[in-house]
Amino acid sequence: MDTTQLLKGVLDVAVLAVVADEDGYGYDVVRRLRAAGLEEVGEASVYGTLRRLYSSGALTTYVVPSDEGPHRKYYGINAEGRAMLEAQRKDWHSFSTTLTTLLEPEGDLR
Amino acid sequence: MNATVLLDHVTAYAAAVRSHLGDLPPEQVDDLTDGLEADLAEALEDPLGPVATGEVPPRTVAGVTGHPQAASLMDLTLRFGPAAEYARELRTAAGIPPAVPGAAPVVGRAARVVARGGRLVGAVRRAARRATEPLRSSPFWQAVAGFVSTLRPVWWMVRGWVVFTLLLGGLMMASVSSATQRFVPEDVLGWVLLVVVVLGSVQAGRSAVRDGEWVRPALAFFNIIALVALPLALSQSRTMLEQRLGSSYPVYVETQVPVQMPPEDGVRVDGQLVSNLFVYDAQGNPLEDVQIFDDRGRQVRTTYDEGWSQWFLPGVDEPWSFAGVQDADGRTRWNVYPMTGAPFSQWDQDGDGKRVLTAGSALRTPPRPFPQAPALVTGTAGTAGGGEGSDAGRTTGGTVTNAALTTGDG
Repeated sequence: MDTTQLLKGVLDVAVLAVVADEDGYGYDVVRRLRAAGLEEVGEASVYGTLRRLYSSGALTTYVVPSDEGPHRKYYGINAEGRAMLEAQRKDWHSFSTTLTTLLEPEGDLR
Repeated sequence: MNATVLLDHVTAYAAAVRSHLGDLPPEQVDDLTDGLEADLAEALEDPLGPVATGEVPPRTVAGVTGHPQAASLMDLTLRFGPAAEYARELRTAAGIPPAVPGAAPVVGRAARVVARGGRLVGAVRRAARRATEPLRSSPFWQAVAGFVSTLRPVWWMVRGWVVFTLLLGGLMMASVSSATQRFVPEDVLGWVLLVVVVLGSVQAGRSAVRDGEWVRPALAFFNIIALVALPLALSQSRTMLEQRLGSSYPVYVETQVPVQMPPEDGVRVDGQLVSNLFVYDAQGNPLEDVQIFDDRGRQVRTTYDEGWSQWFLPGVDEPWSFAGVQDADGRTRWNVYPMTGAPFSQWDQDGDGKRVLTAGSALRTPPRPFPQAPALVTGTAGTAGGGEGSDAGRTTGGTVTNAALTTGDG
């Protein structure tokens, strides 16, 4: 199965979850997503998602200058973002339960 | 890996990504790509970073990790994919529709035109970028680009000067000022303005280099204005300086000067040109062959045509031409009155080009206005206001005043 297609639908909640743990900048978020197992996540997709979540008011952002290189743009979650994360977490649970049930081989139900 | 080289590549790649977002408003592009360089650089320096779909693992790319000495030739598209792909992924994830003509979220005709222009510029830039990709990655190009970029401060100063001339040109239209002040300041205020404008231009150039993109659109506007105005300002200032400095450059100015035509020679009565004079003595009898001079001894001539012109006489149908009179020294005199002549048709031209009468014709005196003039009361002193004997003309008893009359031989 093309997991990149699956990823598209859940990237928002995944990014929200990562940022909710701790503030992070673009590639930092990518690295944590990949470390968590979403290895096929596209970097530009993550950056774009961060921008979109920020535009929709779920994230805050601030710039941290760097001595030896370009500045980093950090993202942090806010109250609206946490509410969004909570709602999507519930949605995901119900959806994944439904799909797990649906995909369970017949007679193998517990 | 050399951090500076890495950053150069990262900056170039980020610029390429931005160029693929050229259809978006500049603020949105900044918003989308702010911090992109840092993310790209860190992604490159992360040797353990898992590889996303379609991306080539960094360790397989020569020059990125394997051969540091070849780092300056590395191709970031092998790591991140084509910049166009990257930009598309970025904007899709950010919820911005892909670049489709007419799909830009703009309102109003002017905004649409601007957006269309932006897309066009973006497309041109993308095409130019694609076409010049092999050239731009060559060491030669790097050297040339490095050299040119060291010359940028010169352009900043020139740009400042052009803006200064434009400013003064505008001010001059509003007020009265000397023309040369447009190019070279002549007073303290002018110098202050020039220094301020040049410093501003240099500062704008420096901040554009340091911060990247945000000042670019405004600067691009000034750059274009300055580029267009530069040749004009240069040529005009050169002319101006030559006029002021070069005494070896005389400036010829054509002006219209009204020229008074010298009055036509001849004798006029009541504004009308006189063709002949008739002289009568004190008793009113007509005189022949009278020489007339003015008070300076100049001959009084009525004609200057040497006998070639036609003169219309009162009461005579055919026009006449007149002849001069030979004096004792053999000169032809034209101040002998009344002049004799003949009708125009009786004149001809001899082999020497001289005016001659046709055979059978003879010179004669034209008809007099009247055979007899009124007689004068003479011999009484002071009759006409002048002192006795004081006026040469009057002592001879002629009727022409203000001219010396001498009766001729005949």
